Order: sequence, then structure tokens, then C-alpha cells
Amino acid sequence: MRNFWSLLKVNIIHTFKLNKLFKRKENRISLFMTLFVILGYIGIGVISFFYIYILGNVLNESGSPHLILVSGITFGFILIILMTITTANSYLFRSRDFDLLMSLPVSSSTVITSKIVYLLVINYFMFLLIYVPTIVVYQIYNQTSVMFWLLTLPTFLLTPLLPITISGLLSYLFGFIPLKQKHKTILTILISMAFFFLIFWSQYQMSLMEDPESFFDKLGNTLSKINLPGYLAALGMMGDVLNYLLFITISIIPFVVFIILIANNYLKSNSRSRRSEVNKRYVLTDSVSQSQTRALIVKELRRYFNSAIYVINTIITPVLSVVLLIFLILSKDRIMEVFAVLGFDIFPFILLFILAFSLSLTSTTCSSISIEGKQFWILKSLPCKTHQIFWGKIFVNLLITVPILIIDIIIALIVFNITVVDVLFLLIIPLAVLIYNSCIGLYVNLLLPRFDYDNDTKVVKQSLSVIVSMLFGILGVIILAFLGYITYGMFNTKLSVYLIVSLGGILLALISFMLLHIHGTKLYKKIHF
Amino acid sequence: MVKIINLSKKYPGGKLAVDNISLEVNPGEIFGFIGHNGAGKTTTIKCMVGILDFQNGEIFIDGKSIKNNPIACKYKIAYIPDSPNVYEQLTGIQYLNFICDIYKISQHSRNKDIKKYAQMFEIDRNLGDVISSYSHGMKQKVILISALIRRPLLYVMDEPFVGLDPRMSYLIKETMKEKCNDGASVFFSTHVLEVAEKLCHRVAVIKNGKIKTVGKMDEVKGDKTLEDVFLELINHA
Repeated sequence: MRNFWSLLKVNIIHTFKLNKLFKRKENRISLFMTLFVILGYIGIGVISFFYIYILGNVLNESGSPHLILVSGITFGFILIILMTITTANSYLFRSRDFDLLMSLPVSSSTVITSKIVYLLVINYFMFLLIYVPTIVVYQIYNQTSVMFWLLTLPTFLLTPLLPITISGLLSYLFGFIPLKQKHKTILTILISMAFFFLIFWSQYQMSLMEDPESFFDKLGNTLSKINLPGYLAALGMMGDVLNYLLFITISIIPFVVFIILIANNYLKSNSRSRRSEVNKRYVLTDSVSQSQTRALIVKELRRYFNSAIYVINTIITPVLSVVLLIFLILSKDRIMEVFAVLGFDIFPFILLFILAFSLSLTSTTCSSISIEGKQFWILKSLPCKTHQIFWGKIFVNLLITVPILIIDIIIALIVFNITVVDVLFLLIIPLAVLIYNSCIGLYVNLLLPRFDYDNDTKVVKQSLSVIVSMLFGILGVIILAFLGYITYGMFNTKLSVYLIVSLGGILLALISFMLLHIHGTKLYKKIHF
Repeated sequence: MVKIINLSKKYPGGKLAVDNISLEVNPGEIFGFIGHNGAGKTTTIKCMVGILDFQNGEIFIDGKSIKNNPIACKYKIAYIPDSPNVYEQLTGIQYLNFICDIYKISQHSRNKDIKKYAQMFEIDRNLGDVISSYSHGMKQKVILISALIRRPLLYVMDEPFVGLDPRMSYLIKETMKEKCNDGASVFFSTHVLEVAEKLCHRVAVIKNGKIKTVGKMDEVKGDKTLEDVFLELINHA
């Protein structure tokens, strides 16, 4: 047990860089950014509360307030699966600390338990954002008993067990697929995208039901199918002890079995994941030269497309903008009716918001310095100007997002009959947001680099730089949306909103570019590793 | 070839890693840089090759300041780090071509040199595999080839003999001599004092960031072995 706690403690200290965080004045930036992240976390909690409050209100008015609890738990359940399914494989079976851990006189079950408990800890932080608002909103619209309050903590602790087990098991089974690593990366990306698409599709299907009563019946039914344990937990908290016992059983037994299964096969699974293909018939042939800039870009692209987690984490939200547009097309008639009632042409603004928001949530640049890891010496020793290196990194972000933006605009142009002026500003504003996001992401990563990671997940998904960049991205879109709102209030014309928001976007892009160009270059030179 | 004048390097947090050191490396010279763990060898090397920023002093590579003219200096240097960390997702040949593109090496020259050194280090059949599948020694070979194909004026090597088999060590030593005969210079840090004694024209000993002695090998060691001199300097100076 002592070994387990030691491994978990070291993992948490290493991942969150706790030793550096509370040490000396040099880490003022880290401390400041950590406070920024904590504020952001609270902010997301507040947004989550309002979202669940609105949902609770709707459910209450439809006579189904009891569904608040199961809805909240199911959202959490899905969120945990989404967050762990993409990370579990690299964290559990491809981690760089494997050699070190296996050389220690510690059993595989202790190692794997410490790793899974670490995953649990991370997911508790996320689940808390949904669970606490759910409990509060449920209490507002329902009578609660002592039993309910007694079971809130056990439910919170037990709910993430099953989704983590499912994600981990899928990652484990994935290792058996006899494909080359390159093809496995592509398959991982495609499966993850399909999974995200399915979730959106099911939500869309539910929104199609016109009869409110059948909708809420169906909702309860669907929730119990998607997340039976959550449904049982909710029933248990409402007083059904037997179902709660069933929830405990369904959560704990698969989790324990999963740990035993992985512990017994940990060595084999890791060996399988680390297996590398060797071309025995390779013959050295002549090579073709290319320019410095092109070589840097190709190198960045190779690094990017070689990491499934890097691709998934940065491409999902831009791709979701296309998915959202497709759903808007499927509901076109209903949407147009609603906008006709509103009486003014708000639809292009909604499109604009979807595009800008989906493009601002993630960027490849916010982890592009950290992802260099121990190879950072190569970049630093190359005879290249800093701006060339920055451009290579920014280019990757633009290369994957600009085509998606253009696809979005073409779809909107064909299906929704938007004007040429709309198209022009639908291009300019999101493009400005993209440049802002790319520059600010790279700048934040220069402020908060981390090279000591043991798997890509820790820099691509869990690093301070990624979280801070995301908050800056959201902040940029909120500023532009606020600017648009104020302008519409003052001038009441679409063109004035477009012009002012465009100016705001260009200004944001310029500020972030200058920040990167002037201070970012100095930061790059000063990075110690 | 290299002129270090009053170099000082302080890390954030206050640690003075290199304290006012000065030394020179002449063309065609193999220069050994010796010191205990944490003495400041790697920091000095990283400052020399433009990886680390430094507060005080100057470093000139072939007459050009690494601070004011880093790109021109980097074209003349080939740096070989102590750990062979290379882009693991690339194949060996992709990495070598990447380096050639960045250093603007002509197509003819790169094709000739890659073949020559890949065959010499017996890695030509593996260059099509991803670097992540390579052993430690194979990664070192790729880094070494990437240095040689640049035909630099200065080779800067941090502990180049760590983890190498005897044949590879021999090849590196012979290559170092050959390059110096061609007019290039080699600056390398090492803990293997016997190798330094046999190979180096000049040597410097660094302790706690300060140069304890620097000069021609014969002058520094006198009648003693380099090991004796080193231990004396480290224990008593």
C-alpha cells in the first residue's frame, strides 16, 4: 500500500509540477497562470450551473424534475468517457516511465492501480463541475431525503469508475489490432471522431421529437440505456436501496476485474504497444532537397500526425463546427421559422459565433513547444530564425483549421442562401480569431513550456499551457461577441456589427502577433531545458 | 576557431553554473573539456552552440559572436549532445534530410555523404526505419552522421563516448583526428581521461564553474597522468 501511495504521489507532483509551483520568485508566472486556471475552473463551474439550471427548469415544467439527477450523472459519465478514451492508451500502455516503473520492486497491480487512480483523480476534478450543480439544481426542484444527502458522496466517488473501465478496456483491446503504428494512429483518430459524431447524432435525434411528453419519456428511457449505472444511482438516491446496491456492484466489480486483467497483462500490453516495425528490405536511395521553411513545416506536420492524441485534441472542435452545420441543415426549416419570428437576420451571426467559437477552443500551437520534449535542443541549435520556427508551428494550426473554415462557409453559402457580404465577414472574422488563437497559444506555451513529460497526453491535454490558451481563446470570442452586441445596440445594422467585430478581431490578432514577435522571441531564447 | 571571453551563466533561481571563464580553441585542434559532474561543462557547451542564453561575456565562433550573429555561427557548428534525443517519429533518412535542408546542403553532397557515413557506421540498412525503433547506439550514429554531413568547422561534442561499443568509439576517435587534419576543430567534454590524454592537443579542467587549468596537454599534465592532475585539481584546488 505504501508503494501505491508513493507512486501516486510522485505522479501527481510530477504532472502538476508542484515542486516548481511553490518554489521561489522565478515561478511567479506559473503561480499567476495557476490562479488564472482556478478562476477559469470556477467560471466553467458557474456556466455549468446555469446550463443545468436551465435544463432543470425545462424538466420541471414538463413534469419530469426527477430526470435532473440522471441527466447530470449521464453528462458526467459521457464527459469522462470522452476525456479518457483518447488518453488511456498512451497513458496506460505507451508511457515513457514504463521502464523505470517495471525495474522497481513493485507489483504490476500496484503500478496499474496507481495509474488508474491518477486517472480517477483527474476525472473527479471534471466530474465535480457537473455533479455539484446537478445536486444543487435537483434539490431546488425536488424533495430530498436524508438518504439522498448521505449517498451524494458515494455516488460522486463511484460514478467515474465504470467510464474509466470502459475507456481503459477499449484501449487495451485496441492494442490487439494487428496494424502498423501509422495505421493505428489513423484508426484511433477516426474512431474517436465517429464516437463524438454519434453523441451529437443521438442528441439531434432526441431534439427532433415534437411531442413533449413522448420526448421526456424517451429521454428517461435513453438515459437509462446510455448510462444504466447512473440511472440506478439516481433511483437509489431517490430511495431505492436495491438499485443503489446494484449501482455499487456494476461500478466496482468491472473496475476491479479491469485492474486485475491489466495487471496480469501489463508487461505484454506494453510490449505490444511498443512494438516497432522494421523494414528489412530497405535500400538507401538518393534524396531530394527542399527549402528551410518547408523542411520545418514538414517536420511539424510529421510530429503532429504521428500523435493521435495531439490530432484528436486539436481537430475535434473545428470538425464539430462542420457537424453542427450539418445538423443545422437537417433542421433548416424549423430554424428558418424561428428566425422569421425573431424578425431580423440573426442567422449569419449564429453561424459566425459557431465558427469563431469552435476555432478558438483549441490550437496546435499551445503545446507545440512542449511537444518538442527532449528534442528541443535540435530546434535551438538549428541555423534558423526564431520567426521561421514560429511560422512552422503556426502553419500547422492554420493548415488544419482554414480548410475546415472554408468548408463551413461553402456549406452555409449553398444551403442557407447567405449573402456575399456575409461570406466575406464569415471568412475575415474567424480567420482573425484563428491567427489570434495560434499566436496566443504559442506565446502561452513559450511562457509555460514543459519538456519533462512521459506521454503526449500530459502536454497536449493536461498542461497548464493548454488550459490557459483555451481560456484566452474563449476570452477572445467573448470580447468579440460583446463588441458585436454593443454595436448592434448602438447602430442597429448588420454591416456595422460586421465591421466593428472584424476590426476587433484584427486588433486581437495584431496584438497577439506583436506579443509573440517581440516578447515571444525573447522567451524562446531564454528557455532552459 | 572558438574564443570564449569572461563567460558567466546564471540559471533562474540564482545558481551560477559558469563563472567568468575564458578559453580558446585553435583551428585543427582537438580540445578536451574535463570536469566533475555539475562542474559547468554542459552549460558552457550549450552556451557555445547557441542553445542557452548567457548574461556576461562573449563567445566568438570563427570571429563571429554567437550572441549577435547566432545563425552564421550555427552554420559552422555541429553539436552532438550527451543524450541522443532525436525526432523519434521520423525515419533515420528523414531526419538526415531534414538536417541537410536546414543547413542548405546540396543534393549531390548530401547523397554522397549520407551513403558514405551510413555505410561506415553500418546503419544504411536501418535508415528507412523510424528512429523510435533504434537502439541507443544507433541513435548516436544518426546524430553523428547528421553532424558529419554538414562538414562544419567546429564539432562540439558533449560526452561523445558514453554508451558506445569499442568499434564505434574507435571510429569516432579516428573521425575526430581526420576532421582536425582537414582543418576543423573538435571541442568535447569527457569523463574518460585516458581517451582525452591520448586524443587532445589541449585541455581545460573546470570545477564549480571556474577554469582551474588550461593549456597544451603536455604542459598541463607534466610528468603525471591526466587522471592524477585532474584529481589533484578537483580535490585540492
